[in-house]
Amino acid sequence: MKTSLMLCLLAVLALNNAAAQRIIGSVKDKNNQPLEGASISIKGTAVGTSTDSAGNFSFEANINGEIMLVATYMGYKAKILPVTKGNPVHFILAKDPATLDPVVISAGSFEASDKSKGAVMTAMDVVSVPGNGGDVANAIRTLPGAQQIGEREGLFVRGGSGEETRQFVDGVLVNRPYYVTLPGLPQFNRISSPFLFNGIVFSSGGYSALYGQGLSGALVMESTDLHDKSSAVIGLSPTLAVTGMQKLAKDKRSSWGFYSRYMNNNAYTKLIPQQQDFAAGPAYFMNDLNVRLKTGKTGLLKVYANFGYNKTDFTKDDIDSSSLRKRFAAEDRNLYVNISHRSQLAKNWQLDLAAAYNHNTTDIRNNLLDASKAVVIIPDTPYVSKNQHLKSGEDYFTGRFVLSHFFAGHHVLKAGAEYQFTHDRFMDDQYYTSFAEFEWRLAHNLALRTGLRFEYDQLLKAAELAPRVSMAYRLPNGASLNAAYGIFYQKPENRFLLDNHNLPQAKAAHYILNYLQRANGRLFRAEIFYKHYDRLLKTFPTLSMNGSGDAKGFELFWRDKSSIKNLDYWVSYSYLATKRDHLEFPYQMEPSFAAPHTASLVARRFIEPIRTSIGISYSYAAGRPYYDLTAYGKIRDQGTTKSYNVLNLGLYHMFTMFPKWKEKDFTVIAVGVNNLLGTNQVFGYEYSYNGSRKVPVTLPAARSFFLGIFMSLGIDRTEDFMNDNL
Amino acid sequence: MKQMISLIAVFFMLNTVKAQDQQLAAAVTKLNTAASIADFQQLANEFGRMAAAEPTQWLPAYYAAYSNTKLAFLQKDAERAMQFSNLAEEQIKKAEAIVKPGGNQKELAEVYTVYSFMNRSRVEADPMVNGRKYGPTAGAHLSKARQLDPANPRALYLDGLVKFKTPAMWGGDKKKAKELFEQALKQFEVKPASAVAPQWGRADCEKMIQ
Repeated sequence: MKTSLMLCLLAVLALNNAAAQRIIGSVKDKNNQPLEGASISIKGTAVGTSTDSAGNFSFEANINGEIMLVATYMGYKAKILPVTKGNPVHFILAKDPATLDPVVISAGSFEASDKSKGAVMTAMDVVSVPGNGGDVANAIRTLPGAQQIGEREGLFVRGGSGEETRQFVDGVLVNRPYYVTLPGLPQFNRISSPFLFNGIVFSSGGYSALYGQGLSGALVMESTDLHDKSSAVIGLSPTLAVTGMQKLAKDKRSSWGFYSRYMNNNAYTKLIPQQQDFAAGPAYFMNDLNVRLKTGKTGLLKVYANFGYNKTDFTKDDIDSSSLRKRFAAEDRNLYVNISHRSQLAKNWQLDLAAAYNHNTTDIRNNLLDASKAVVIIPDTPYVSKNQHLKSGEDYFTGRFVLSHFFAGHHVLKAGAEYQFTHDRFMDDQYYTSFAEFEWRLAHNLALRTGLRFEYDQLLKAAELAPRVSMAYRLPNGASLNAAYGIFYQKPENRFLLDNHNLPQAKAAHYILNYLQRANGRLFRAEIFYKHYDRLLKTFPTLSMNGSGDAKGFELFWRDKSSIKNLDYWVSYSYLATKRDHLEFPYQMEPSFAAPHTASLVARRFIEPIRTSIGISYSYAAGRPYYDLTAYGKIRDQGTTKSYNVLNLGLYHMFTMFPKWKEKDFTVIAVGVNNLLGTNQVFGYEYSYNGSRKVPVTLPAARSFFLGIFMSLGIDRTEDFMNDNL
Repeated sequence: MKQMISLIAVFFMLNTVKAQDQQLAAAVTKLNTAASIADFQQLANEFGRMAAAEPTQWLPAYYAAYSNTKLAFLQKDAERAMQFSNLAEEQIKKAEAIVKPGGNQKELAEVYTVYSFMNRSRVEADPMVNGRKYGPTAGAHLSKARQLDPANPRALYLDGLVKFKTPAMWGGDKKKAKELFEQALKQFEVKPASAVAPQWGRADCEKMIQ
């Protein structure tokens, strides 16, 4: 009995006090680099140690029998190895792709988003670029690929005209994104509240098969879902009055809101002399309405409606005579309604439905006036065409669905179709498209997107097939290599179709190669591209699609938020070599909207003690070509403008006006000066009919100023400002 | 005889538990003076090993989460920092799952303090992307912790730290922060319940008050 007890005790003691043994070894990665701080443990126990800076470990353990050793290191796959007495244990660990973010396809695109990992900027960044006037498209001009065009609205991308970049809201095309074009004055974008959009993707080429009808680029905007909380905003400036609110229902299943702006620059143009003499306006009345409604378990219905009115009436010197004035008066009314619905049909199935309706009327008057402002009628060329009244109206409807299926392994299939209908006084047109896109996650560091788009236009009676391919590969250093290829089509504008229906769509091919590296709050992006225009619209010698051209170049982008405390800046540079034969061009030549070198610098610094954010944006563009081109393709004069240099300054002072209020207000006083240095900008030249006179196209005034105060109640802009400025 | 054997077994089991406690206590003491990445990495590893070996104990998981949170704050690279935050989240969730059913408010307050701290590390790693996503969660966990145990010095310290770092116009308040630090220091005077009970933060708090 006693012996057995003793034996038992001994056995237990032996177990507890097993001969201590020293376990040594190392942990390295596949490149034989030591991994410092890796954890080593004996499987199933708390016994272990960590590796030193040379990746070595050594510890004593009181355990007998077979020992299994586990090595773990952040970002690597854990490994188990047996210990054989007296032999060191060498671990080689492999990277664990599951701990890395999947690679994002990004060739040709810049994303401004509050939620996506691939984003270059946030919606707030877009708003706060000095000199953009809250206009998304203007802010985008500081990104590579976009031209600095100061005399017209629109995004001129990589040698493409402004019409070649289209805008999309929640998947569907915005038919008329800008107010009616005014000669020599850039117009506003109708979408006046960037805060309604939490995802903005600017693509300068190679974009997804889900979108079409943009020969050069796309600006894809995604509206916010339900608003987080109720809020209100009011704003006042000498030229502007703003009011808006968002109301979130108690059950948090619905929200609605509106945003209204009335802007009249007439008094301003009297105070600060402009080239043009404004009899009325420019005046704008912009109204946004939005409704969000949760439907069922997963559905979300979004309504975005936008009504805009613009009136402008001005005169300026007539170019063909020294004593006469030319009047230009325009009124523009536009209603845009966008309804979309997103729902989860079943596990891994998503259905997106969207429809949009646009009604647009414009009323343009051209008159020739004498000194007493009476209309002068001269029945000779060129004066005969200077008294005109043009009224136009257009209705546009589009409906679309996209069905997405998410496969295991993160592959995604998206397929859908779209129908567009346009109607005006002269013609109706119907356009059909269907598309499918498959995103393949071939490996954790390799993604491929293949898409195909079919387009058919009833008026043109032409069917087209547009393949698109893009891919992303993550290099071992964490940077990614991207490539994209695609064919893109765009219908001729209706005014040309009036004369000839049998035109095919304009056609371009894009080839893009891109390198992207992002680390520690810095981002570097380099991209080279080649774009080939197979078909472009010609108006001379006959109306045809026989135009052609190409564009090539490279672009650099650098953003740094972390090197200097409280300073956020980005720099972009674009080199562009392009020639095209379009419209009345006699042969392929450089279009007047393309400068070979473009650069921008945007910097913002927040100065906390005075609660003020200072922003500057500086843009440079090398001289652009200009031509005196007759309608018969004859060049009477040509040259290159001087280079463009503009410095814009914005100051935002933030404070609380009524700190005692239950719901504290958040107030911003904004002061802005565009073209601070008053540099004389020349965008091109306007020629008289006989070519004997040429007048530079320049800014309406040397500098433009803005002063306003905006007060938000209940809204959490605070986080936005904080996150962006700190 | 059987009794004897079970007695001995119990004795040795107690012995192992004691050994584990000693290991934990030693690590907790080390944690009070840890400063470098290497220090915290070793401790994160050690707490992690203990947490794996003792899945029913909340303290090892809790400390592992705290150490990994500190590591997240010490990283220069945002993506790497996020990996540490993610690991810390896994661990603090484990601690929460162990403590929550017991209903011990003081322990739960400790857990939520580290939970909040972990989410702060995410905000700090990449404010632009994470600010809106994790900032409010961090705030909610901290106020939960403050509610559960108003005298918890670590929650007081963290509250002060957030108020100190946030600019005044966005709800920051340096004066209030100082008050919180002073309150926290007072509470740090209260001796921890045991050698292994949460006690980190005192040195950091003292630094803030100078």
